[in-house]
Formats: sequence, C-alpha cells, structure tokens
Amino acid sequence: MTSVPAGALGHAEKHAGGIELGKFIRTYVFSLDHKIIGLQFLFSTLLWFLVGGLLALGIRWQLAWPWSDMPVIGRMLFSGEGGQIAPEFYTTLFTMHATVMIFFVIIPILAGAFGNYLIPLMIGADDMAFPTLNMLSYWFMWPAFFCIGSSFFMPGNGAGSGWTSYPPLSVVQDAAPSSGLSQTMWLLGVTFVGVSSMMGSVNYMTTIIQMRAPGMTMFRLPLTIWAMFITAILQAFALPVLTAAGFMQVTDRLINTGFFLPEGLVVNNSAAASGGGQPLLWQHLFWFYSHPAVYIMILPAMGMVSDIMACFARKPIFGYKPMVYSISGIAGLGFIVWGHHMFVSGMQPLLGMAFMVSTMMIALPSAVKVFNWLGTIWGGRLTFNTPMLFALSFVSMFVIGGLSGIFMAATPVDIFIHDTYYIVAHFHYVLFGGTAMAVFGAIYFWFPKMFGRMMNDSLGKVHFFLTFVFLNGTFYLMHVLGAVGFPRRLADPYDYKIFEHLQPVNQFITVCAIGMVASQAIFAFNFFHSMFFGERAGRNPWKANSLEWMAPSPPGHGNFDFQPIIYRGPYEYGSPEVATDYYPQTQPPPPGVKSKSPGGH
Amino acid sequence: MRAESIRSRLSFWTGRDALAAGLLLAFAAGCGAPEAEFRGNLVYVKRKEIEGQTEFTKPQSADMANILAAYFGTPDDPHLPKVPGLELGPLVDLDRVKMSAGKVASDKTGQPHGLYREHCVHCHGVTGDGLGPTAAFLNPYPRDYRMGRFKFKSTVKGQRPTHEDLRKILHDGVAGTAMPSFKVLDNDEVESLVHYVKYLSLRGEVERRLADEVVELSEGERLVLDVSEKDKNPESFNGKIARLNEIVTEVVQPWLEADGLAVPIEERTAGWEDPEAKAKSIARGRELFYGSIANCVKCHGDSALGDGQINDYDDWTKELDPAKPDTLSQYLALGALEPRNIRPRNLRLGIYRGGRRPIDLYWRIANGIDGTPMPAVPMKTPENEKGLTPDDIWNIVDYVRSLPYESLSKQDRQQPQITRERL
Amino acid sequence: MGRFWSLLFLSVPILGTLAFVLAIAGVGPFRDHWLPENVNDYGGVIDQLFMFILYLTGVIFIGTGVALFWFMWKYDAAKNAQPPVYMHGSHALEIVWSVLPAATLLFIAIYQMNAWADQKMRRPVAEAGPDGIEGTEDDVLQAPIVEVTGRQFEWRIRYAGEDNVIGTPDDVHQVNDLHLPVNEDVVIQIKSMDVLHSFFLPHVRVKQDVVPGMKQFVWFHGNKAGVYDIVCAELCGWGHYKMRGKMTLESREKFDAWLAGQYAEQERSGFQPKTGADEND
Repeated sequence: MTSVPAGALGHAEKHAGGIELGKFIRTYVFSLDHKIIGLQFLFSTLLWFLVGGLLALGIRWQLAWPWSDMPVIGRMLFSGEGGQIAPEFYTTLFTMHATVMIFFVIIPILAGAFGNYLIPLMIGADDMAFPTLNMLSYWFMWPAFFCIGSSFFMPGNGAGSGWTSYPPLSVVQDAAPSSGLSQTMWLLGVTFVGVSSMMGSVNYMTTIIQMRAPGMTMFRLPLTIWAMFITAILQAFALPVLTAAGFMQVTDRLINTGFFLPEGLVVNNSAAASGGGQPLLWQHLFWFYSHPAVYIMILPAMGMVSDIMACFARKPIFGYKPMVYSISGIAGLGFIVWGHHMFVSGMQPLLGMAFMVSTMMIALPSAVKVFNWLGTIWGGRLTFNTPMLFALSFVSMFVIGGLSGIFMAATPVDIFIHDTYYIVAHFHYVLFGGTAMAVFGAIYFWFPKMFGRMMNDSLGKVHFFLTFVFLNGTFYLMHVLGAVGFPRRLADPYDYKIFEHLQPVNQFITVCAIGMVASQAIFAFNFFHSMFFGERAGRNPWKANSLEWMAPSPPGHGNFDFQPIIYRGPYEYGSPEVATDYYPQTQPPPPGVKSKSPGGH
Repeated sequence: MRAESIRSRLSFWTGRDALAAGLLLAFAAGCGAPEAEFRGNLVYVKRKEIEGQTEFTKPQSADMANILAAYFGTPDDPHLPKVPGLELGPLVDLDRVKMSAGKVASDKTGQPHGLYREHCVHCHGVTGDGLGPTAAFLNPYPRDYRMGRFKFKSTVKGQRPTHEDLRKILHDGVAGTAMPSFKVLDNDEVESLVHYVKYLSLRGEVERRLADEVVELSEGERLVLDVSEKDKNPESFNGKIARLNEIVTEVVQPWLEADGLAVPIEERTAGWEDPEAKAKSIARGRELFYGSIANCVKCHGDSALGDGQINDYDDWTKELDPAKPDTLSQYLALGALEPRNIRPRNLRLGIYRGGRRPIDLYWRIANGIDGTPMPAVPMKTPENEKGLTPDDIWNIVDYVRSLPYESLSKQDRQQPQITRERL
Repeated sequence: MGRFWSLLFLSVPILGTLAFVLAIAGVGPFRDHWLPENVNDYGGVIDQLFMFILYLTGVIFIGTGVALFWFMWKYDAAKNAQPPVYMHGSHALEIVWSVLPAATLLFIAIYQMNAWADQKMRRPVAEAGPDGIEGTEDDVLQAPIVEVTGRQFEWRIRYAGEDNVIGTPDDVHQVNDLHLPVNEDVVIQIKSMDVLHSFFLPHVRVKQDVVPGMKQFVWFHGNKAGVYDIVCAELCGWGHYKMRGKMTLESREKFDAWLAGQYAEQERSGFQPKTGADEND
C-alpha cells in the first residue's frame, strides 16, 4: 500500500506550455482528473437545482392560487385558458420536481461532486482508481439530462405519474396524457442516471479500499469518507433492482409484457393489452432501491457535517467509532425497511408489522448520531462562520425530519398520514433542511480548496439566515396540514369541505417558498463572484486536520506535492501533544512523543 | 487595501445584479396576465368556405366576432343577447351565467366564481368547443356544445335538451366516460353551470348560423354595417340588425320550447317486476332485439357486444368529412381532433351512459340518441302497423338490463379478474 | 453574532412547539387545523397513538433543540475563552443513548401491533361459527354492505340490495354518494377498475389503496351522523384531485329509507313532465 503518487510534479510538467483546443477539451471537458469531474458534477447539479426549485414554485403557485394565471408558464402554454394550467400539467410539475431533485441534484451532488472531489484528496491518493470510468460516470449523466429535459417537449409534456411511477398509471399509455412517450423518456433517463451511479460507486469503493496513503487505516478516515464508502456500497447493491424494475416497466409499456398489469383493465375506455401481473410488484422493486436511495441522499451529508463541526468546534468528533457503526447501521437497516412506503398499498398486513419494527429501529442509529453531534459541540470553542452555521442547522433540521419519521413508522398512524403533507414535510426536512443545508455548508467549506479563494462570509451568513427562515416557513406548517389529512399531489384540494379553509396556510407556505428560492440568488452571486474575486486562500484557511487541507488550493494534478504519511485520525483538535489547536494527519508527532495509538482517533 | 477594493467591487455588482434580478422577476410575474378569449369556430367556417367555394373576407370574419361579442360578451364578462320580443329569462339567467364565468375566485361573501373554468374548461374548452388541453387524450372526446346537440335527453332527435336533462348529466355524470358526476357540488353551483352550458351552446349555434349567413351574402357584402351608416343608410342598417335578431330568435326558440317537449312515458302496468312477468318480458325483448323492426343486432352485434358495425361516425365527427383526407387535413390543422369511429354500446357491461333507470333506456330506444347513428325505433301508428308499442319497448329494456347478468357476460368483465382476495 | 445565532436556533424548538400547540388548540388562524373529528369507534386508537408519539417526540425535539441552543450559547468562542475539552467520546453515554432509544422504539413498535391488526386484519365478525367462540378461524366474517370501485375519476358504488349479494340485478348503483348506517359495524368491499386509487375517509381514519386485480375490505363503526368527505389518496392521473366523494352516516332507518328510495328511482319506469318547477333526483 505504499504507493508513490505519479507525482504532482510529473503531472505539472506535462501540462506546461500553451493550451490548444484538443488539450483544452481533454483538460477541462473530457478530463480524467477527479477534481475537474467533481466540479463538472457540481456545476451541472447546481443548475438543475435551480430548475427543480422553479418546478416547485409552480406547484406552490397552484396550491396557493389554484387555477389562476401561472407566471411565465400560463402565458407560454395556457394563454387560451387565461393562463390557468391544465390539471395534467400539475402532475408533470410534481413528478419532474421530484425526479430532478432526487436524480439530478441530491444524488449526483453528494456522490458525484463531493465524493469525486474529496475522496482521493482525503485519503491521500492522486486520483480515483478508474479515472476513465469516472469521466464516463459524469458523461453518462448527459443522456439522462437530455432524455428527461426533452420529455418536457414531447407528447404529454413530461412524465406525470409521480417520481414513484406506479403502474398501471405509468404503464398504460391511455391512463394519463403523460404516460406516452414522455414516460418512456423518463425511464430511459433514470436508467442512465443509474448507470452513472453504478460507475461512480464501483470507483469509490475501490479507491477507498485500495488507494489510501500509508498510515491511513480505515479508522483514521474522516467520516466524510466513511459515509461516501458506505453510500457507494448502498448504491452498488440497491441500484440493480431499480434498473431491473425500470426495464420491466419499459417492456410492459412497449412490448406488452405483463409484469405489472393485471387482467381485464379498462382504462380510458381502452382495454389494456396484457395481463397476469401485479401492480404491487413494481412498488416492492422500486422501494427496495428507493429506500436505500434516501440514505444515499443523507449519509454523505452526515459525514461532511461531522467534519465541519469538529473543525469549527476545535474538538474531536464525539464517538468516532459509534458514528461509523451508526452509518453502517443506517445503511444495513435501510435494506429491510422498504415496506414502510407500502403499509396501505394492499401489501399483506402482516408484513406491515415486520416493517414497522425494522423502521422503528432505524431511528436508533440516527438518534445516536444526533447525540454525538451535540457531544461534539459541547465543551468546544465554536466559531459561527457560514459552514458551521449550515452544519448546525443540519442537526437542528434533521432532528425535525427524523422525529416526524417516527409517526410514519407507526403503522396505524401511517394509515392516516400516508400520502398527506405530513410525509412531504418529513422528507423535505431531511432532504432540504438536512442534505441541502449540509451541501451548502460543504460548498462554503471546501470552496477555498476547489478554487483557491474564500467565499464571502458575510454574504454567506445572509444566505444562511434567509434560507433557514424561509425553509422553516415553507415546510414546518406542512406538518399541521398533514395532521388535517391534506393529501399530496392534488391540483385543487379546496374542493373538499374538509380542506376548504386551508388555503391561507398554503399561501403563507408559497410566499416563504418564493422567498427561499429568491434567496439563493445571493448564494449564486457569492459563488461566482468569489471564484474570480474572492479573497485568496492558502492551503488550510480553516486550520483543519484532514488530508485535503495539506494539498495546494486548488490542488494540481496528482493532488499532493509531497508523499502523505498518516500518523493519526482527522479529529485531533485541541490535542495536548502540540501547541496549536489543530494537529493535521500528516504532521509527524513531536520528537519523543509517542502518538496515543496508531489507529487513534 | 485588497479588502476595500473588493468591497467596492462588491457593491457595484450587487447594485447592478439587484436591478437585473428585479426586472427579471417583474417580467416573469407578468405585466398583464393573458385574458381568456373565445376561439372562433374555424373548422365550421372552413367547411362553409369549401362547400360554398368561397372565402370569408377579413371584414366578414371580423363582423362575426364583433356580432358575437355584442350579443354574448367575453369569457370574463358575459352578457345575453338583447333581442326585442325575446325573453331569455328562465332559460338562461345572467346572474347564474356570471357565477360560472370569468376567473376562478370567490367573492367577499364566499360565493365561488369561475366555476366553468374550475371544473369544465380543461376538457370542454373556454368556448365550449370540446377542445380543452386535455380533450385530445380522452376517449370519448368531450362534448362540443356549439352544435346545440346533446346525446342523452328526454326529447326526440333534433330537439334541444330540457333544463332537467342537462342538470342530470352534471349531477350523475356520464358513466363510462371521463365526464364526472358533480353531485357533490352545491345545487346553486350546478344550476349555474347548466345555465353556462346553455349560454355557450346558444353562442356556438349563433356563430354557425352567422357563418351560414355569410356564405349567402353577395360579393363584398357585410353582415352588419358600420355605425356611421346608421343615419346614412337606415333601412339597410336596420334591416341587417333585424336579420341578426331573427337568427338569434331562431336559435333560441327551440331551446325555449324544449322544456315542454320531454317525451312522457306511461307508467308500466303493475306487477312488471314479478319474476315470472319479468322472465316473459325478457324473452319477448330478446325476440325484438334480434327482430327486424328494432334490429338492434345490426349495430350492437349478435352478442350485444357492440361489434355489429364499427365504421360509422357521430355527427360532430361527420362534420369533418373523415373519408376525405384533403379537407380533413385542413380541419386538423385548424385544431380539430382526430376523427374516431363511434362504437355502438357494449350492452353486456352494465354501463349506461345516459342513465340506468328504465325510463332512461326507454328514451334511448324510443327517441334515439341525437348526434349518433342510434335511431328512434319505429313506433306503431295508424300509418305504420309494423311499429313497436310502448310495451314492446319495455320488453327490450328488460332484455337489455338482463344482459350483464347473463351467463355469456362475465359480470366482472369491466372489472379486472380478481386474483387476490385480501382478508 | 454568536448570541444571535444561538437565539435563532432556539427559535426552532420554541416556534416549532408553539405551532403545534396553536394547531391542537385551534386558536385564531389555526382553527380546524388539526386532526379532523373522528367519528369511528375504532379510529380513536389512531388518534391516541398519534398524540402519544407527538408528546414523546415533542420532548426529544425540545430537549435536543434547547441543548443545541445552550451549547451554542455557552461555547461561543467569541464569548468563552476556555480551551476546548479534548475528549473522544464516552462509552457510558453511548450505551445510555443507544439502549434507551432502542427500548423506547421497540416498545412503541410492539405496542401498536394490536391496533394495526384491528384496523387491517380483524374484520368484524358476523357470527361465531360452529365452535361458538368469536375470534377463531371458523368465524363467519361480516359481509360487505357495499362495494366501492375506484375509477378514473369517480367512486362507483354498488349496494348489495335485497338479496345481500353484490353483483346481482337488484344491486343499487350510485356514484360518489355513499350512505352508510351509523352506530353499526360497516364493512366495505373496495376495488379498482383501472389504476391505483386510495379510498381515504379522513373522519373515520380509514385509508386503503384500491388495487386493480385485488378485492379488499375496510371496516369501521361510525358513531356520529353527518356528511363527510371521501378523498382519493393515491395519484391516479390528471383528475386525481377531482375524485371527491361524499359519505353520509345516518341512522339505520334513514339509511334503509334512502336505499329504498334510490332503488325505486333506479327502477323508475314512468315519466310525466311537470309543468313549471324542476323534477327528478
């Protein structure tokens, strides 16, 4: 395992001299360098973040002012009706919002952007194990972008059966205007994303296992890497099921196989061609992947938050090994809870009991992590800069999201709150309040490493404050709506006597949502402005311990201009062995001092 | 030093960016929302042009639009034609129409407005032309009100529906189609929508008649003269107005009469529900079903599955001349929906679009179904000894109602085979 | 600034709890912003479980929120010159906060199994069966009084009629308008004609996806007459929001009368136009 990197120096020499078009394309477009690929993922996903956010605003607009003239869309697509959207367009809005956010934003930004960028740097490798495969994993996203982006312009104007795509609605072409070509394109797009993710996960697992620098034992890895590692394993085991299911849905749609369609269906006055299948089969297969997927969407965030919090508390992470075991526990348990999405689906009720137990138990490792984060800041010396604020908000928001999950795990309670806004509140708290906040924090934190400049901290705090306030204004009251039984995915809920009076709350939520999206303009400005005009950063502006902060900012090819040797874990802040309050992993111990333990944390 | 210059640069960018963002938001929010407008009956006009081998001039088309606006207003601001001697009152009430018209909203008292746009527009279209955004996808297509023809009613073919007929369709929906039941709405709201449907239907019919009128005009002649001509040429001016009022009256008259034209049905002789009597009736009905007078099997098929013949079209589709691809392509380019054959009903499903009561089925058989090839069955009269009597029709009704439960029908055919029974 | 941020984070447990308190109390703008009235004898357990979990999670929410605030306040580097405590964790604490939550969660899970079984597995029994004991395998389960079939985009309803068998000529057909007797065990058979729908009765705490190819049963015991909503709770296409139904719970006498009236109307075989006012339905 004593690998001498090809040498940042060697790489640097190769790229001395002028840049021609071919070189430019190889350096910045079809690059094999994990950092460039990571940045490509970052830019693409941030752009799709904007698209997904705008789609959400469409949903919110309709819920606040149903059948009113929708901005931009109303005049573009529905001017004949005075700007009011058609009901099937609403189904497209929420389907594509979820699809874009899950498959084009959260999963790729965590694994593709941060995983790619940080893994070799944090473990002391010069690049990923399979650089070409890495590049391909990015470029395989583009056919997905194309498929799903173009589905907006096809008959049906975009898939509209929910991101969950349950048959028979999604399979029978006559069941919905969007179940024609648009749905097929959606399935294709998701398949491409799956392939991209598989490539990535193979790369990450191999790199982390095989390419760690000397002295970097598994228990000296930062939690970010542990999280990325376990996430990669999740991806590898869960994705094939989704791919198979997607394939089965494509064949059901196009060549009349009967995996998911029972006999005798008459939809929109046409008889479905095939039969003998089970709609529930899709749900089982889909959720077998998609439940681990939600852990894929949070574990890397948890890892990054741990690193950020330890750094700005100037304290070791509290309970490193329990944290690692918790991540593993979440991942492992994550494979046996998928049925909690299906409690009222018609699945055998006895299974409901089994899934209730496993789902309740999965709250445990998450709780342990929350306590450990609290333990990390207890007794620390906290600096409240932008990354730290986002990391702290992760903890606060994740508590809300996690606790609301317990209601859903309770099967009898889920009878009432399933498919209501209680669920919407829950997953937005964990995905936006949790993961997205962690992603913002991670961007502010690692921006200096990526671009050699600091992001503006004052603007960052303004961004944080506005986002924090508006996110809570948007999602918290959804719990209350859910308690009333306010269902998801209804284009006009106020027709029901029981929901008539809930429009003002929805309007409040919409105004907050608009504020939330608008606030991101500050972030966008800060991001791009700082890239060119930000204060220059040295190698280690945060005085952190982990390995990436020993490399230049930004690192050149081959990452390190020295051979990293690791002496300790990444959380030795405030160590009595040194005078400084941080103790980088590669810093040799003072003469005569024996490090507490080689695998010490 | 550096920090300062960055700060000053910062404010420069922030100011410009803020302005740009503000402008963008203002544009996006829309300075002036699009207003819904009635769409002209371009397909019918094109048809008249092809028939009459003429072309509507711009002024003539503008005349049509202006006349309709003058008589009927706009989707947001409707009014009813004011024609001397024509009392629209009970037929179409303007207040009720206004409740359904316009944008979806509720006023200060909580009364809803814009009901048509809330519930109907995305299938039936703003103009009531059956061309809403969802229409092309539905099977069968939503109704185009502009011909004034409605399928399921208590009056005979060629007559308008009664108020009650329309209200029943809204209340019960049309089973087996995408037309839902609106019985969960308040009575007021349903009434308002019925009035609005009539409003759209009247407007559509007037438009068609105007198009017919234009074809009859001589070269360069207009439907109506400029206001400036009123004093210069009073006879011609007033004459044209009178002609237009005449057209409107001719359109409204059948509607006014319709409420009194519901076909009465004599109550059946008591005891018809007794199993024995019923069995006899069903047997006789079967004979008539296969017989030559009613000749139901010709269209509904030997097994009543609706497969007797499937090549015909309903009247709304026939206007598109589906057999002539050249003209058809022109109509499609103007927004008409792909022609589909009309299928005779599969009587073994137990789904009856116009209602499942015996009187509903009686009406379908005795009156035929307007707008479709389903004919009124020939009744026995002094002139026609071979026709059917009301009792005969009842026999057929009984037979048809028994079909879904016959052994040949799988009772659950319209419902998927039950493969799993959960507790 | 650290004080400001700490207080901002404190606002989370404060405002969060406040929102729920106001919603439960139904105060001001939060009137009727809580669980709808439950009119099912068997539904109360769901509300109780909901509230129990709410209190439990509420305590944890406030506890962790206040702890987060307090640590942010106390250990703000700008206000606190103490060096950070160099420690890697505490085995004792790890055990405590692993075992306690695990036990609690397991308890909640097991505690609810009975309620779940009652809702989904134990259909009301009509008779005890040959062995004379209720609750055993040979019980005769109560037959459904009505069949509700979800269809794009309506609820098609079919009552068993006089012969108490669903699927015969004497069935009473309805659409969207479900009447049921109150103060009785009611069993409903639910199916789908085309795609997935979900039969959701908020006031009765019943929800079950209707799956094409599957026949399922839901049951409840209504205890208050009134008119309640039927909501579709599974995306079924563009008209998912339109699948609104009306459920009327009324006394057995009224229900029987209504059903008889519906049947009579369904069998109506005479029509005389009335002069003037509207007739029908």
